[in-house]
Amino acid sequence: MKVTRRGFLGTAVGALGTGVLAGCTDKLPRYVVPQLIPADDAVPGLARHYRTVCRECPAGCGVTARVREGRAVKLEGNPEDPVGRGALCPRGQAAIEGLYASARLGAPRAGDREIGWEEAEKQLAAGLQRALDAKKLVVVVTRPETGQLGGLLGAWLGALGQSPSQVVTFDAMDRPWLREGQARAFGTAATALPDLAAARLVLSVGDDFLEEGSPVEQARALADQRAAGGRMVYVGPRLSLTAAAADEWLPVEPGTETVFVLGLLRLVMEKAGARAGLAPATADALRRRLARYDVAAVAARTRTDPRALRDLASALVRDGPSLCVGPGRAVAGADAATLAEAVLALNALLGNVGRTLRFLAAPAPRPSLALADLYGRAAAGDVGALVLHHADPLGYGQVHAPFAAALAKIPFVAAFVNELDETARQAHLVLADHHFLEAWSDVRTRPGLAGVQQPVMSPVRGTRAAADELLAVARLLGKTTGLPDGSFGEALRGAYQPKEIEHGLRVEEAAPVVPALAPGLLASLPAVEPAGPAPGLPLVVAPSFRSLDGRPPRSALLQELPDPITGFSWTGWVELHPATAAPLGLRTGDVVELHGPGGRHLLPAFVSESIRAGAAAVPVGDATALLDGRGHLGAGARVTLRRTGGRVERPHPGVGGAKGGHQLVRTVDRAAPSLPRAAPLPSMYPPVKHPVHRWGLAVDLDRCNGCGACTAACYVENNLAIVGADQVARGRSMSWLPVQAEVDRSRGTPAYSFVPLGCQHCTAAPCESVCPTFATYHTSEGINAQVYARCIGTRYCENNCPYGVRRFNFLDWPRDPSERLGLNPDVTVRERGVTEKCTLCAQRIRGGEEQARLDKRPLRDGEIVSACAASCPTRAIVFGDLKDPGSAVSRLAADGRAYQLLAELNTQPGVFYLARRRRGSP
Amino acid sequence: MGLRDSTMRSRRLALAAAALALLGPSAARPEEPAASPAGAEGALVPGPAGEVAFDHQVHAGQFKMPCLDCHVFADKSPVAGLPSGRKCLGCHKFVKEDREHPENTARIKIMLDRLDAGQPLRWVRVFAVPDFIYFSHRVHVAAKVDCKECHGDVATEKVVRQDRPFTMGRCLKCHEERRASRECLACHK
Repeated sequence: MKVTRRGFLGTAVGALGTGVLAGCTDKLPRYVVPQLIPADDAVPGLARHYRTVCRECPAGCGVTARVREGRAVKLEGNPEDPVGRGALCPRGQAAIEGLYASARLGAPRAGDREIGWEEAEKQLAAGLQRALDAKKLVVVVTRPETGQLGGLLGAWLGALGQSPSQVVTFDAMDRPWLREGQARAFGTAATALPDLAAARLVLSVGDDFLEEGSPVEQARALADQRAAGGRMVYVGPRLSLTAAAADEWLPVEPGTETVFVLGLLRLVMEKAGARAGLAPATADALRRRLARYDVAAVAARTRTDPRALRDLASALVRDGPSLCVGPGRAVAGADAATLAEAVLALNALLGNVGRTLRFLAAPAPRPSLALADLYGRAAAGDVGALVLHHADPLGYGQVHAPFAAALAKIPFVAAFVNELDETARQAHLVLADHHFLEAWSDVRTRPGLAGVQQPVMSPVRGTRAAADELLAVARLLGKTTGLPDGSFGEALRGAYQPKEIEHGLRVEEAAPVVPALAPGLLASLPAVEPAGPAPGLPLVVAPSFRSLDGRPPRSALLQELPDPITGFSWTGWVELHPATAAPLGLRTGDVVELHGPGGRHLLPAFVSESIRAGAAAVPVGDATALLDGRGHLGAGARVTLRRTGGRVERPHPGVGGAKGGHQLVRTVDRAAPSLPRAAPLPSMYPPVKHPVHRWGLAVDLDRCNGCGACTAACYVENNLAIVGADQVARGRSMSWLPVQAEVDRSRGTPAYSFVPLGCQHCTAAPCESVCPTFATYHTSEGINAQVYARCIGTRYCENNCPYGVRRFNFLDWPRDPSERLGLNPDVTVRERGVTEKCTLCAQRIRGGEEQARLDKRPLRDGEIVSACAASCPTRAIVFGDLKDPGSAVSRLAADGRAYQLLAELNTQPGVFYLARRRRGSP
Repeated sequence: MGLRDSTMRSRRLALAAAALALLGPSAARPEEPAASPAGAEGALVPGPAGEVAFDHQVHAGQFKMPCLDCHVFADKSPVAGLPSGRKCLGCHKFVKEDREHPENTARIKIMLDRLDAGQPLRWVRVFAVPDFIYFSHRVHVAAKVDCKECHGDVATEKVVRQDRPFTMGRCLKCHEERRASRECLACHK
């Protein structure tokens, strides 16, 4: 009798008896409850997409929420939105996690107990009434609300008989020095819009625009600028992601950036001042004020090569249009506004204003209260009630210390929050607000653009919209003059056309402004001579995706993602130059105790040339523990270090990675950007046919800046487990697409490249031939498939994969029931004992092919997009059909820069990388 | 996890055990397959006794209502769907008794009372594939696979029951006969 493998297995299973299989069906959901009245044209089993706005940071990127069975499961960008242009950063990807977080409040709280909404409204009304009766002020502290909600807060105060100006906008990541510098340099409050893509040379003065501000927008612009042959120079103490993206990093002495830019300004003035069209009085004043910043003095003070300063000045004048941006947080010390003035003056002299640096007339700001005024009023006992709206000043350590004192003086404090935060813990009443994916609102990030935020699903918990609660309380108090009759959502819907809500935005004309330099600019300038010695090291506050609002990070996903430069996950770090670390005997991973003006903090050291000697860099979420109460999250503070003797094992950067330390990144000369073509190697395997499609990826290493949006998108799309600090340290991160940093130290300053390294989907895959159960195999469409039901966890595949991209589930990773609601129903949740890895988003391919087949049409290029490619801010990752010669991915794979990783192994990957372009021969 | 784990884990256990058996010296020689590996076929699910015992024989048999009249998404979505309360009322606001089957009149009343009270009906699930399987009704409807081929002749069943196993072997047999995809990833998600 002929025994087939399948027949044998079937029999063997039968012989094992039915005990093993008895539990096969009893755990399936027993009941199905269809809706009483179905939602209009909602089809179960198919996704619906809603446009809305991401509120994870003030950039306000437009997003598209994918909703399955009434639950948002994934966010992507809104391709029509001029800010995000269809892409999304890691923080935006993690928004889904916040929506279903188990820490989210589902009911109002008073003290330590949950109360009902009616009771909460009564308490809020009573608290406000007491303040009004006592003729005290009611003050609102809110996160930035640039849209109608901001207006409503003022109108609500007005209805209570208060001044509408009693609204404090609290944004810890605000960069007030930019506004102040602009007011001094140009005397205008117009909105500045830098256009990186239009500049041939970009100079960033410590501005980490790939990490904060509007990172998705700027990442795309910078990648386009670079692709068009542009160049970028970064001046700042630390090699941030933004600095790593630059062609040149000039690490000037920390604290002397202003002197450096003034020296640069003087040189530019000499070279181009005549043709800048300045008013003679302004030009004379500038020349006089800059006289002392001659090259030699500036170079000595900033400890830079005078030639570098001269070269930079010449390049700025020669390679127009240029663009100078900054100063960023990393260099914003006490004289940050002066530095901002100098940067704007550079732009004005170089003729960039109105070209690469455009200004749009901004509407008059709403009347508001400054934090300092609130402190004063509270201290005087004038404030009777405070309403906090997603503002957590106490979450920033000592940075906003006076707020705690003010809070103690206010008899009634109510807080609208999603999760209990430090400030809300001090409140008398905590009101559980909707998540932004459940609520109506709008944002106006710049003149001429409004993003419409609509609810994409019904609330997960028993929350209520903050705006509607304020309206309800106003009605309870009988004070509704000037307030909308219905809900805030209805009022908002009335203000936008249905089409605008559908598309998630409204675009209008905005009037451009071309401001001229004010004659009084740069009135007070720093000395060139060095200040006296100070104890400790200057502290560099590094913006990081881990905590975009500046607080210690809360998102498990963002903490699990390794920092692209340092490779740390689940912890902050203190970055030190080897020359600084050596006298203290510190190595990477040694725990350091830092003493700052606001407190002490323990952090592991990261010793690297990615920071200038004589400085210490700490990510912003950890820096809050060190800074004092001046409300300034920037440079200027000094810290002292002490070795503790403790050690933290740093998780391997990128986790896994190619075995044997192979170098993955290839570089080409910008002048001749192509790699030598290798002849195909002989193979002992029969040729593999892909009859219809051959799915694959192209990854342009010249565009990748290492932000990790692809990694985060992959986590959310594919239900990847978050394993926690301990397991990450054991190398058990489940990331399917980690971004690996590769450093080239051959040219003095380290040059970083980033490689998103997922499964290569080899045609001759080493993993497939060693799998004893055929759990992994090559599909007819080129996917290296992993069939979890077949996998028995031998890990032979993982062992044999030269790229180190396979992940084994050592454990079952627990998920909170509410977190399960956010799982993508199209992807299995893997369990302990199986291996998993990138599937090229097989569920998206399957869905796209199914739709095309039902529509009886061929697939269009770009119709199916993997989650990583969809999220990539720079469009470095392109997904498509390698068999279709006209597809975008095929064109990239045929590019002169295209190569395959470890091609010498003849695995014939379906992922192509495009070599990084550098100046000069590689 | 949870819902689908038992299935997946037990299958993997079985495979692992089988692989062990392959290596072991006393590997069972499969010359004589077990007579009827009922366990391997999966336990057959009995029919439901839902809150409202729904009579397919009357609806699909006697009145010859097409399946898609109630399972409205079967040609539009991977999920066939069950009728909404509004759908039931579409007919039953007129049809309040069944003279031929008096026992059904009481059932209709239970349903109407529930729906009047604004409560949705709760149906007992009879047919299901494991959670790690992607099954698309609309593709099968478009390929003109008769509903009967998987669900049996429900027009003759007063209470629907799963009268045939939903195993990979059955799926594959049909896929082979119709030259449909035999990719693992066509169904395994």
